[in-house]
Amino acid sequence: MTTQRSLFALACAGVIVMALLPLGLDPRGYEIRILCITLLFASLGQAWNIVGGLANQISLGHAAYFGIGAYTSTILLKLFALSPWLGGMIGMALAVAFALLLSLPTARLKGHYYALATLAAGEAMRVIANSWADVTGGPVGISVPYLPDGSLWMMQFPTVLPNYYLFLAALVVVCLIFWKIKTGALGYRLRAIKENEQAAEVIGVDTYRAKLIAACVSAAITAFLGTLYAQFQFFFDPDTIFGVATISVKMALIAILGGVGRLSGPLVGAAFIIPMEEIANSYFGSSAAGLSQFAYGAILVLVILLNPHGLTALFGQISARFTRKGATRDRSIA
Amino acid sequence: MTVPLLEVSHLTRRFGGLVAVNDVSFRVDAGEIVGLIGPNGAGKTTLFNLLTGVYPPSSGDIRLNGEASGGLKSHRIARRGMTKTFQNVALFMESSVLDNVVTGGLLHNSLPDARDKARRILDRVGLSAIADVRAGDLSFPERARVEVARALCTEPKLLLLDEVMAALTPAEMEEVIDLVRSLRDEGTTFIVVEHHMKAVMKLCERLLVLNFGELIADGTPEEIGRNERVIEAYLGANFAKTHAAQPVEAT
Amino acid sequence: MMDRRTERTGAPLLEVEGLSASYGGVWVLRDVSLRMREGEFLSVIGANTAGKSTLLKAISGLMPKVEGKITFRGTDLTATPSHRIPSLGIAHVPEGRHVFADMTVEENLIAGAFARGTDAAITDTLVRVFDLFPRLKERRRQLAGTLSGGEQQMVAVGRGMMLEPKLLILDEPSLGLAPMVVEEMHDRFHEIHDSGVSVLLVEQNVSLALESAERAYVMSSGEIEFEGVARDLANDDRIRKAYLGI
Repeated sequence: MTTQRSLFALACAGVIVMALLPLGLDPRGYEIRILCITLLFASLGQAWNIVGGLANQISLGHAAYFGIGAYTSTILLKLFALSPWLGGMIGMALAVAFALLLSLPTARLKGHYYALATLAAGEAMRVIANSWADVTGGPVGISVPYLPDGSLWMMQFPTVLPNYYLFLAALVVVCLIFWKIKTGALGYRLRAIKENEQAAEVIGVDTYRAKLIAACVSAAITAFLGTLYAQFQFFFDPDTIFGVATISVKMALIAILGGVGRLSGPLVGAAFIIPMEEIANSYFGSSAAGLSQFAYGAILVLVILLNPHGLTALFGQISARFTRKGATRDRSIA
Repeated sequence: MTVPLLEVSHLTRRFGGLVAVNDVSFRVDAGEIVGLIGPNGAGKTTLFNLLTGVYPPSSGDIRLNGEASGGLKSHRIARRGMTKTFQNVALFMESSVLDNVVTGGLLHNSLPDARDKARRILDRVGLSAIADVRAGDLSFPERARVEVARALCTEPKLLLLDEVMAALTPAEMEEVIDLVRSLRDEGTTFIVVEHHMKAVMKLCERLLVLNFGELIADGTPEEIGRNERVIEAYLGANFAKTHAAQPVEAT
Repeated sequence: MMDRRTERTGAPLLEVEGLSASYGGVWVLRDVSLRMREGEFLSVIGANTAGKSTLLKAISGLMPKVEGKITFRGTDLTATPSHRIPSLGIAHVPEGRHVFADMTVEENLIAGAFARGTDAAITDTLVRVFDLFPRLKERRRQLAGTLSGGEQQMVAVGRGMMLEPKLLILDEPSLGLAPMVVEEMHDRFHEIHDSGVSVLLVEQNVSLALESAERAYVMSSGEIEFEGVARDLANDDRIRKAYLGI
C-alpha cells in the first residue's frame, strides 16, 4: 500500500473511532462538551490553515468571520425563526463579503502589517457588536432562543450528542476542502506565492485572485462554524465570539503549533491545546489567579522551542528515528 | 507589413532622479533570436522588468502582437504570451522540479494537463531524471534549466532569457545554444541577455546594445562588433577611436 | 619614493599555475596561468565577467574553493591563510574603495600598517605615503567618509602602501572616477612602480591599462585568452574580439 492510501485508511479509521467515542460518555456531561470544543477548534484551525498555512497570510482577525456567522444565524433565528442552516449560509455570504472588503486595503501588505490589519478588523467587529445593542444585544450578549421540540432543521437537540456529530461532520468536510485545495491547482498557486510571489506573477499566477479565493473560502467556513457554535453554546457575547485571545489567536496557534500547512496540523494542535487548557484550568485554576494561564503559556513556549515546525514535525522526527526511514526525496505533492 | 511580435516605442523608466531606461525603441519579429547586451548597469534587467510588467513604464509604449501591454500586471502579460527567467534564478525551492514546471503550466491548462505538459517539457530539455528532486538541492546550471522549462510551460510566444548561461562550461553552453535554436524552430521567439559574448554572437542573429539606459546600436553581430559606440561602451573611448576604423579582418 | 630600489632582477615574483576557482559549484576561473617578475608592471584586462577580480581574490586567499598553484617568491599562497598574506609583502587594494568611513585619513592609513613592526617604523612609512599623496597629508584629520571618490581611492592605495609591499595589487582603481582623477591616479602608480614595487593592475579602462603596463594578460570567461607586450596589444584587434566575442 502506498503512503497515500495507508494515510487515507488511517484517516477513515480515525473518523470511525471519533464517531464511536462519545457513545460511552454521558451525553449531557462535561467530557463530551470538551470533545465538541476540541472538534470545533480543530475545524477552526483547519479553516485558518487555508490562509495561514497554504497562502502564508498570518491572519489574526478570523474571529470577525466566526462572530459574523454566529450573530447572523442567531439574529435571524430570533427575528424570523429562520433555520440556522439557512441563517448559517447567509452568515457565510456576509463573511465572504467582509473578506472581499478586507482584501482591498490589505492586498499589498506583508507579514506583520497584514497581521496587524486583520487584528484591527477583528477588533472593529467586536466594538461594533458591543455598540450595536439594538441588533446584537450589546455587551450583555445574545441568547439562542430555546425551542422545546428541538430538531435537526432548527439545529437544536435535547443532548449534546447530535452537536458532537455535527462538529465531527464539519471537521471531516473542512479537512476535505483543505485537502482539495492543497492538492489542486489553487494549492500550486498558493505554494508559488508563498515561495516567490514575484516569480509566481511573472509565470502567470494571478496572485491577488489566488489569495482572495483562499481568504473567502476560509471566511465562509469559519462563519458556519460560528453558527454551529451558537447552536451548541446557546449564549455568547462580543468579547468571546470576536475575541482576539479566545478565537483569533487560538485558531492560529492551534494550526501553527500542530504544524502549519499540513492537514494533520490543526488536528494535533487542537487535540493538544484544548484538553491542556482545560486541565491547566481545573488543576491550577483554584490555586492562584492566572496560574493556569501561566502554565498554559509555559507549555506552549516549550513546545515551540522544541520544534518550530510544530508537533506533527516533532512526531515525524521521532517516528523517523524509530523506523529508520529517511525523508524521501519525492517532493511532488507536498 | 507584418505586425511585429514585440514593438517598443520611446520606452522610458525613471527611479527618482535616475533614468534607468531612456527612450528605447525597437521591434522583434516572430521567430527571431535577439540578443540584448551592454555593460553592467546598462539597464538590461530593467528593460526585461518593464516588458514583463514587474513595473510600469514612466512613459512610452509596449505592444505585444499589436496589443498595448505597458502597465499591465505581470500575470496578464504572461497570459498574453510573454514571460521571463530570472537572473538570480527564482525557483520555488521547496518544491520539486516537476512541481515548479507544473505551476507554469497552470496558466493555460488544468492541473492534470499541466502535469502532462510539464513532463513532456522536462523530457524536451533533458531534465526528466531529476523531475522529483527538490529545487533547492539542484546545482546552479540545473536550476537555470528548470527556470527555462517552467517558463516554457506557460506557452510563451516571446521568452526573455536573463543570463541563463552564467557559469556554464563551454560544452554546456553549446547545449543551451542548440536547445534555444530548436525551440525557436518550434515557434518560440527569444530575447536573450547574456554576458558571455562568444555565446551571444553565436546564438543571436541580431543584437540590441544598451548603455546607460540608451539603445546605442541595433544590428547583426558583425555590425555590432565594429560599431564605434559599442566598442567605446565596453573598451573606452580611446580604444574605440583606433579600432573602429580598422578594416574587417579576414579570419 | 621608497629608498630601497630592488633591482629589476627579473626573478620570478608571482607564479600562477593551472588555477581554477569556484563559488558554490560554479567554476569562475578555469585553468589560469600567469607569470610576473620582480619589478614588473602587469595589467590584466577583460570584460566584466572575465574573472579578473576573482583572480585577484584567489591570489589573496579570499576564494573559498581553489585548485592549482599560486607561488609568491617561493611561498605557496594556496597553503597560506589569507590573513598572513599581507605580511608576505602583498598589498591588495580591492575594488570599491572600502575606506573606514568613520575614521580619519590618518587612522585609515595606520590601520593598513597593522602587520608591520614598531611605531617608529610605521611613522616613517606614513611620512613616505604622505609624500606620495600630498593631498592626503592636507586632509589627514578629515573623516574618510567625507572625501571625494578620487581621494578615497588614494586612501585605499595609501593604506596598501603602508605595508611597504613588494607587490601592489590594484582591483579596478578607476571605477566611477572622473577621467582627470584617473590620470592623476595612474601617475601615482607610475611613481610607485619606479620606486621598485611590482604592480599588478586590473582595469576596465583598456587604454589606460595598456599605457601604464609593460605586459598585459587578456581574460575572457574565466580563462586567459592571450598575453603580450602592452604597447603592442594596444593595436591588436584580438582585444576587441576578447571583449565583444566577434
